[in-house]
Order: sequence, then structure tokens, then C-alpha cells
Amino acid sequence: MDSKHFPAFYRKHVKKIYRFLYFRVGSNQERAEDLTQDVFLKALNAFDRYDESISESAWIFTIARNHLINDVSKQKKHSSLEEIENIEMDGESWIVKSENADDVRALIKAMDTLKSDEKDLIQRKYIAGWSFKELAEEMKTTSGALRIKATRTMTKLKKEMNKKVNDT
Amino acid sequence: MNRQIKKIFKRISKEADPDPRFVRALELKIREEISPRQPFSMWWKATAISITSISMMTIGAGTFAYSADAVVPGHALYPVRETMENIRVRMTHDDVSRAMVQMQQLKRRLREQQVLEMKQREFPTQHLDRYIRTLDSVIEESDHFSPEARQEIDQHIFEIQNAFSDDARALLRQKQGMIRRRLEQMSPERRQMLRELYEVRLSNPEPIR
Repeated sequence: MDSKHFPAFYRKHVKKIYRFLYFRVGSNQERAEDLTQDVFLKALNAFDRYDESISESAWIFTIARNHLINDVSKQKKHSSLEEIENIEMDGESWIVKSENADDVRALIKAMDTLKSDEKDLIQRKYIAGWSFKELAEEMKTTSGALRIKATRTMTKLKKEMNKKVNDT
Repeated sequence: MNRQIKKIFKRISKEADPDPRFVRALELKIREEISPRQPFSMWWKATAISITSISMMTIGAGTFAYSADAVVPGHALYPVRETMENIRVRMTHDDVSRAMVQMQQLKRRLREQQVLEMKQREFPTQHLDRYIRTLDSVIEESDHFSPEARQEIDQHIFEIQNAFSDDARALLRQKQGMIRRRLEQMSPERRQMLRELYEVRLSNPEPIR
């Protein structure tokens, strides 16, 4: 694809990629910015080889995910690949920033009970701002299936949060 | 409840937004990567160099001579600084503004002295004379200023004199070093002759006037 289209591509995806990286580097703004820059510069270099049949989101997300894995493995030399791939979003630092920290903390605790694929879907859909269509292309499934999965996961979350409220 | 959870997610998502300045800066960087500045043609390059050189020699040299720390007494551009300073003094419209400009110039003299000291170079006597003459004339003129203007001038003089005494000490140290170096370079006979002369001088000091 012609690199003249890249600025528009960048504007469309920068927020999603930044948020995705931000929560996976312990809400460290500086590191998230560095990684975002690296990801987009890498994407720019590979843009002429970008196959338009693949969704843009899936393509840039793959670059971001691989770059993050490389970066984390450089920093933690002894981590296993599985450990790196399941890098969780570190909630504590942004809980403090939130105005109503209690409900955010309850939600994060409830999210800990979810399976990793459910958590990933919820994070990417409701925090990073991906559409079901983009997620379906990236996860190689249908948006309908993801919609159902997301609804079920939200119900699960709701139950967990209610349980925690009743416990306290 | 689902709506409430989505609301919390929305808030978290907002807090995790990138800084707009970062987004803009990265976009600029990307645009620069895509279309780097075109190199100049040979003709344009030659013209640009000529224009830049002439500008530097006229405006640039003046500005550089006037403000750069590198321009100290003995520098090729120092006479340009002196001329520009004289012009600035002549352009003032009354005694008070002239005194203020001279105060600024005295502070620059101090700065030059500090630079010379850092470079371990000698402080020219002629430079020191000019410095003292300006200070004296400002003190004399400020006698008939308004109390407010005089207070401001006095404050500057106080700062300059404080710094000046340090400079004078530095000057003395430099002079002692200079004398020692000259003595070392002299032949033993000449050194002996000078020592005898110095002893005669010490035994018959001139009366203090």
C-alpha cells in the first residue's frame, strides 16, 4: 500500500494501539509512548507489503503484539512465551487515578475471575475501543459470535461484582 | 448493571487516552519519514550558501558580536561589539536610560571577565580602565536622578561592585602568575638586577598620596 495513506491509517488506529500497550506496561505512559512510536514506525516500513485482504486492525495489532512480546522478553530474559503472551493489564496505577476508585477496583477484581480470552475480549472491546468487526477479523471468527461471548462475559462480570458487594 | 460496567470501562478508557501532543508529534515524525525534505539542487545550494554567508557577515556577525559569550577582548569581533555598544548608548533619549544601558554593558564586562578567567587568559588593562570609567560616570550622573531611578542604579552598582571585587582579586592572581612567568623567562643576570632594584624600592617606598 502506498505510504501516502499511512497518516490516515495512523490517525485511525493510534488510540487503540496506545491503550492496548498502556495497560500492558503497567500504565507507564512513557513506555507506552515509546512502544507506540516503535510499532507505527515498524508498520510504516512494512506498509508497502501490507496485504489489503487482511483487516488493518488485525495487521497493526499483530505488529503491536509481537513488538510488545519482543520488548518484554528483552526486559525479562527468563520469562516464558506463555507468560509474556498473557501480560495482564496492571490495574493498580490507573485505579488510583480514577475519580471513583472503589467501583474500578471492584471491576478489576471481578475481571480477575474471567478466563484470559474473555478478559482479552472485554479489554479490547470496551477499553481499547475495537469494534466487533475488527476483533472478529483479528480473531478469525464472526462478529456475531464475539457479540454473544461479550454479552455472556459482561453477565459473568455483573454477577461477580454483585457477589463482591454482597460479601462486603 | 451492564450499562454501569460499560460506563466504568468508558471512564478507564478515557484515562488511558494518549496525550494529544504525543499523537501530533508522532504524526509529524511519520510524515517526515514518508517525505523527507528534498535535497537542494546545486544551483540553489550555491545561492543559499552565498545569501547565508552575506547575511551572517552583516546581521549575524553583529548579533553574534553583540551577544555571544565567545566574543571577549582580543576576539576579532570585539571591536564590532564596542561599536554596537556605543551606538546603543547614543540612541538613548535621556540620562536615566543611558545609565541603565551602561549598567547592562558593565554586567557584560563582568561576564567577559568571567569567560576570560575560565579560559585562563589575562584581563587586559585597557579593558579594566574602560570598565572603571563607565562605572564612575554612571555614579556621577545618577546623583541628579529621581530617588526611584537612583535606587535602581544603586542596586545595579552594588551588584557590579560586589562582583567586581572578585574580579579584581582574580586579576591580581593573574598578574602574579604573569610576573612569575616573566621572571622565569629572564636571564639570571637580569633577574638579579631586578631583584636589587626591587630591594632599593622596598627600602625607599614612595610616600602615599
